[in-house]
Amino acid sequence: MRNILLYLFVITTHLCVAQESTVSGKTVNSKTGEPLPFVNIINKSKNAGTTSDFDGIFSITAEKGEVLEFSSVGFKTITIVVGDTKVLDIQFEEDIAELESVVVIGYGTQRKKEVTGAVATVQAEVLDQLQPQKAIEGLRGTTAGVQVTQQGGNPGAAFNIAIRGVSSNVNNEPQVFIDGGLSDFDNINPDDIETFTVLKDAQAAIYGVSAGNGVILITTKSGRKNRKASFSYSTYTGFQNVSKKINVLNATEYGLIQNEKFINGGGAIRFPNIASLGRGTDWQEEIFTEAPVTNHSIQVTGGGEKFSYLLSGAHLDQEGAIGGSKAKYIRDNVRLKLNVDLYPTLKLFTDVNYLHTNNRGVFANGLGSVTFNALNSEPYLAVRDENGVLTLGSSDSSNEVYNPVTQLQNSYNDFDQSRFSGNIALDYKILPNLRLKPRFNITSQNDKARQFTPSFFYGPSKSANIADEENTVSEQFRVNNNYVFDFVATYNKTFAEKHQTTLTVGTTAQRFWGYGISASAFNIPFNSWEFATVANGTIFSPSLEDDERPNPENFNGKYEYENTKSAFFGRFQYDFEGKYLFSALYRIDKSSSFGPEFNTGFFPSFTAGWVVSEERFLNESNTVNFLKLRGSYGIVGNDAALSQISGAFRSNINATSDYAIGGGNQVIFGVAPGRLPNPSLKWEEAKLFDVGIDLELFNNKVSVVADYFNKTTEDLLVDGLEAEGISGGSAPGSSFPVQNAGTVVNKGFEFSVNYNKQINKNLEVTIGGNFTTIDNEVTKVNQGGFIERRGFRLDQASTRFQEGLPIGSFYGYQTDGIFQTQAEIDNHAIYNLGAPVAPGDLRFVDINNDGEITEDDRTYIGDPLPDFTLGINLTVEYKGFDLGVYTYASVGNELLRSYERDNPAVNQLDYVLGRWTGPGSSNTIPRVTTEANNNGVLSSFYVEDASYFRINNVQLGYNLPSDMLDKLKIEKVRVYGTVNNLYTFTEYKGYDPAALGGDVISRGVDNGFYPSVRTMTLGLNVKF
Amino acid sequence: MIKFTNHWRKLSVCLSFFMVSLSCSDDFTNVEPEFEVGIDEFFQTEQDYFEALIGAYDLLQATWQTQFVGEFMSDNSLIAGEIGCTDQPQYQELERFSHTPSNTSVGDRWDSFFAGVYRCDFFLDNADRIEFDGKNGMIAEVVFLKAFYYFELARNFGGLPFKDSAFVVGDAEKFPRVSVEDTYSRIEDWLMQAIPNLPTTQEQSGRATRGAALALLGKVYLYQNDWDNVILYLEQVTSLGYSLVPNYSDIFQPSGENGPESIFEIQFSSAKVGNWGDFSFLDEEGNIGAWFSGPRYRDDVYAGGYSFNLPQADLVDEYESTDSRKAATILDIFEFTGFADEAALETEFGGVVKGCSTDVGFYFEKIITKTVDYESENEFSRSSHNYRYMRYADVLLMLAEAHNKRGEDNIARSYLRQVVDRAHGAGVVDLSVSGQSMEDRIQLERRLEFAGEGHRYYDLVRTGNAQQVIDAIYGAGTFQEKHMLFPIPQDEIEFAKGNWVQNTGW
Repeated sequence: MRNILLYLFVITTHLCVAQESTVSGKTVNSKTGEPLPFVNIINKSKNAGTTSDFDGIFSITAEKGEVLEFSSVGFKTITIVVGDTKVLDIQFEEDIAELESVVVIGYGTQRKKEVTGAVATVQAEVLDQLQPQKAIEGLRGTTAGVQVTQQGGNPGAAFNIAIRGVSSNVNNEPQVFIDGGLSDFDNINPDDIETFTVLKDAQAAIYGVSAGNGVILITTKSGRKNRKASFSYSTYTGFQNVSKKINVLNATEYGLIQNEKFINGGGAIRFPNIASLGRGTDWQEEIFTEAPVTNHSIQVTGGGEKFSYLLSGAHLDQEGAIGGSKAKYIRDNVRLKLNVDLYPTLKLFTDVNYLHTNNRGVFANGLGSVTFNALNSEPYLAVRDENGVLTLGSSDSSNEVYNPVTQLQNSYNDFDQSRFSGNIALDYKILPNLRLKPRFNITSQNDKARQFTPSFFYGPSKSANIADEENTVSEQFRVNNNYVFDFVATYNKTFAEKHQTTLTVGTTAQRFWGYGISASAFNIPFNSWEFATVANGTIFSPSLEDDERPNPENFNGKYEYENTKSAFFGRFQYDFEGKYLFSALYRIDKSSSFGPEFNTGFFPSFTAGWVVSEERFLNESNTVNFLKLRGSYGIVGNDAALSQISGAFRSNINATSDYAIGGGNQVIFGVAPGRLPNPSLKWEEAKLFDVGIDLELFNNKVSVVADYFNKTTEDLLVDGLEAEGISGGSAPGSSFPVQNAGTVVNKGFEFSVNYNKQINKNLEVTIGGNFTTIDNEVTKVNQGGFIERRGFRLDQASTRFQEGLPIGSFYGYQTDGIFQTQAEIDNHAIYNLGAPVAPGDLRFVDINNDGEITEDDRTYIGDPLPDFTLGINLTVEYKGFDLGVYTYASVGNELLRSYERDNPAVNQLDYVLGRWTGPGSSNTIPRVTTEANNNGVLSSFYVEDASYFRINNVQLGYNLPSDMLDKLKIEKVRVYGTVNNLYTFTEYKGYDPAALGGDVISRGVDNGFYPSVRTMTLGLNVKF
Repeated sequence: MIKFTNHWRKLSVCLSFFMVSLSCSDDFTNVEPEFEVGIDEFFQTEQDYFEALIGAYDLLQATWQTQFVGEFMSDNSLIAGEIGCTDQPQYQELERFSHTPSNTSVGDRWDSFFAGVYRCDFFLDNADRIEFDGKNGMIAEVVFLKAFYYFELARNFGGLPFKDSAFVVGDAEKFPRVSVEDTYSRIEDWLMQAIPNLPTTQEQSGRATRGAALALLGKVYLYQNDWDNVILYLEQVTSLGYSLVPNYSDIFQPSGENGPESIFEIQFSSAKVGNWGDFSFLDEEGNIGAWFSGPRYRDDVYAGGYSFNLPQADLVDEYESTDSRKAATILDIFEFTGFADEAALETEFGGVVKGCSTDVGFYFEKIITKTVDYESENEFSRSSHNYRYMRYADVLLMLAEAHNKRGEDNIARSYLRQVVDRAHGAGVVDLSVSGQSMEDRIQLERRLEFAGEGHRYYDLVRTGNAQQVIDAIYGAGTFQEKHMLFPIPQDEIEFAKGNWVQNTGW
């Protein structure tokens, strides 16, 4: 008995001793030598865990022979078998390959190495170096398959983004989710972004009808638990200048050309005294200015045992390089993010965002824009007369061309937007394997806009002249709201330790609603912006008699809208030993944009992957560290085109209908059906196919991702497609129905490679490159038709959406030189274009070989889509210094030169100096003459190669040494200088080869884009 | 902890059911637009019908192209425009008869007049919703308008498709073009159906009257050389109280709009302007052709325009010295300003006076806008000039033509005499011509009487004189057989997918 008691004592003591056997130590970042806090430590043998503290200190119970796993996001996981040593110094290596990092894939996350779709990510560090004013710029040149272009260089200018090419003629914008909530790029301060994730292929099908243009998921920075408050402050300030001037004629050159032109036209010399003209006025210099830009951004993060928080705010203030404060852009962001562990199984995520922007603008890119006037104004005219008064436009030239400085002076507009958005989400682990995630996301946006056109006399018979008392103000107020309610359940189960399965099912309901109201008034007191509001004006133009006054409904507008969508979706993921990966997705969508019989859509997709490097034959390879083959196929929908079109499947009585019966000048208002209805409208379907390879080589120093894709979009929602005129769609205020009427194919290759090497303790180099080819073709347009946009030099047909051609192709005459002699003309196909032909004129090709040059000889003469795009990015870190260079290029894209007014007296680009003056003088540039000719009609003469290579961003930074900072209790101080848009290599004559318009079909028409600017800034980041 | 779990589990289950029911519900995705009246909800009141009637009238303003094209495609005027002869290529082509089925002006006219037909059918398809006094009168107006649009289409394009209700997208493939004879006969039927229900006068000027329908019916027969029926219907017009305005130039003053000579007049107003993006200008209430025809400068008298549609010496020289219509029709800008030449004029006023016109300095006085009628100083004026589509003088000259063709020269002469005497004074001109000479004289009088009013080109084609006149200007072979009609617009042919045959020669 005694022995037994002793035995028990021994055993229990032993047990006690065993329980008290702890391993302790410190977790350290091997690269910096600094402690690595909050490392997750799991005793795999006991299934118990802990974390290291703020200073990396940890302590965990472990017996000899037990297995400990140390893991921290962004670092390689370390597994240790406990030996005799009880104090451990755990050195963490950064996980450069990031294969273990977690990628968001839509209603869930996945480890990067298990992702089977084509997914690209851009991290916060890239944004730090690019220092973009808008978040979307972070994707320009950094991601294969994503093309970002700006609609001009004005502050706040809109961007176009297309993932794997453009398909729709209406809307190609991918759907953006911020932390799972429906949003857009404008809604976020770039400093708040942790990661961009671009879902490029069928994996996006979980978003169903919203995924047709691709999906971009933005993950924002968060606070961390058990962290004292940390403050960081960033600022930069600098100047922007127009990066390029278009070469136009100076006054003397202009005079000579004018004289020649008028003599050739049989007229008199315009400028007998050429010598007096000199260089004249450089109108571009008169409108260009140096514009300041300043940004402040502050962030506070921290957390307690059960919560973490982030509070951030930013203020951006930017002026225009044309127009200065008349083109001012101001943005304020405030963000509060709070995550709380309500219970161990229930986590709450919340955030609240406020955005305010104020944007003024000057008219750019169009007939009558400021740049248009600067390019076309005659250089012999002075800006101001001898009394310092701004001069009037000349009556000799076009009615649309006048002094651009007077125009800037009279530009008044103001656009103000404020937006609140917020998310509430729960993550509830209802069973060990089952999690429920409800999420509610709401956005409310208010826009207020005001434009004032003052009375002003710009010159005799100028079309912009506004008579006294006829000044007008227009104001618009708009409210846009939406909410999204998601409910997602995720169930994990592993069978026989090898078969991992995850099932995700969910449902979502979305509602978009809002209204807009607009009003205009005349005769603002004192002709002044200060008084310019509709309340101060009169509803009617004072110059009209009582009986001439139009119905006020012409000036006041109001609309309301509501769109809803709901969906069910499910995803099954299967993973065998981390080697064979498979997923299947299915989504059922309903959308209010379609008639009752056609409002439900079904979207299946599949992805599969094979991690070859997990197979035995590659397992131990030092060359190939990781190799995955993957493929996906799926169908996604798109109703985005209809978000901008009301009454697509039903017809409303809302067309203009008026007639002047009853004598006098009065107009009687009636009604008529608006857009013709199409009750059988349904959504677009994109069939997405992708095969790709992910590769890590040479100790993870080199990573390669390559993809081939084919995106075939069918039943394209085509707006503006003409139908037969007998259907009545040409009636005023009416239009032809939206039709499911086309197919567009985008296919191509994407390739990106990344190289990272820690050359020595002080020097680290990273080089990244990406390359994308996209072959775009409209393969079908129903009714054999095409959609044509007019707009080349006022009203000429210019660009097409047509079967067999890329979207937005230029359509006109192909030139093959200049007629040198009359004999050449006589031997050529006969011109049947209205005007006679003479030596020195452009020679158009008789495409259809019928012996005549007629409209039927117009053909494809170029398009604005590049053959390929690439980005090359370099970062070098040396001691405290860091250098980042970001470049991108676009090759094979063309633009249409359309900013030259077709009028004999306006100024011209200096290429005209090389004009044809006699046989043999030029075979590219036609003669100058006032005589009737066909040189002004759209031909390949106006199409220019707009290929470019742009050094987009160069940033040099310096981190103050930490020993110096420690004394000041400051964690980090970094100063840097940045040059944005440093240089662009291009042959393009216009302002910006990288700019594209907003409308997909006509975006390649350059009507004088607001020039891109070069920005030079100095910046500071402080963290304490 | 147990409590918490149960509570939340129940809530979760409820939430799941709520979400599922929301997503399943058809109501959620069935959204009725606010403040919009669907087609089905319309035609509830007499006012609704009146407003739809205005919609049917609306497209009459597309006849600005008839007035415009009908001049510059003839020997009356040149299209001109801005220097270079390339200003608005669609018109430049038409003038030189080098147009193709893709010509946008041709397409615009097809589309606009069929849009008018659509607006009429929208009314007629819904005519039975309610009853009210005066509905039959409104229906008669709409039927007249439909006949009017079809007539404009028929004389431009020949045989047309017909359907008993409004055409919809896809119908081009289904409804064939009937012969031009059948087309005219249906137009005749409609007009005969409308005539008894139309009033002889309308309270609101510009609305269709019995006289307008009778005159149009006579004109429809004129286009078929059916002289008996021309006389049958037009004689009825002469007893409806119309008369010639004694002083010819008064007709074209703003005060002369809808006067005693006016049988059907297209109403324009400068109170609502359209935009430049669309050259059919259907959203505008102004007379675009009249506006475009003004000189490219503005002074105290002339409100400015774009120097299109410039009369040529060939027309100006036809007026005899006693003809009061010359001064009322033609403005000689040099005479008016006293400047010697174009250069002097340009120096003074700026802008360009001529386009690529060969005979410089003439404008259509009767249609161009006067500054006094348009007070705004911005831009060149929009025009409120009514298009005098059918005047009593037209009825008289059509009657003269029909009687002459029937060999009744004495009756013909009496009609001709009324028009000529008004222009020259009673008995000043010797009209003792007969037979072919009288026919020529009638056509000459039509040219002089209606210069600027869009009749000339259609008269030349109708009478078979077009080839001779056009070729004399542009050279032999310019006016070909195919030009007797305009081509069906190319896109319409394509939409019809073989259902419609293009007009001969195009």
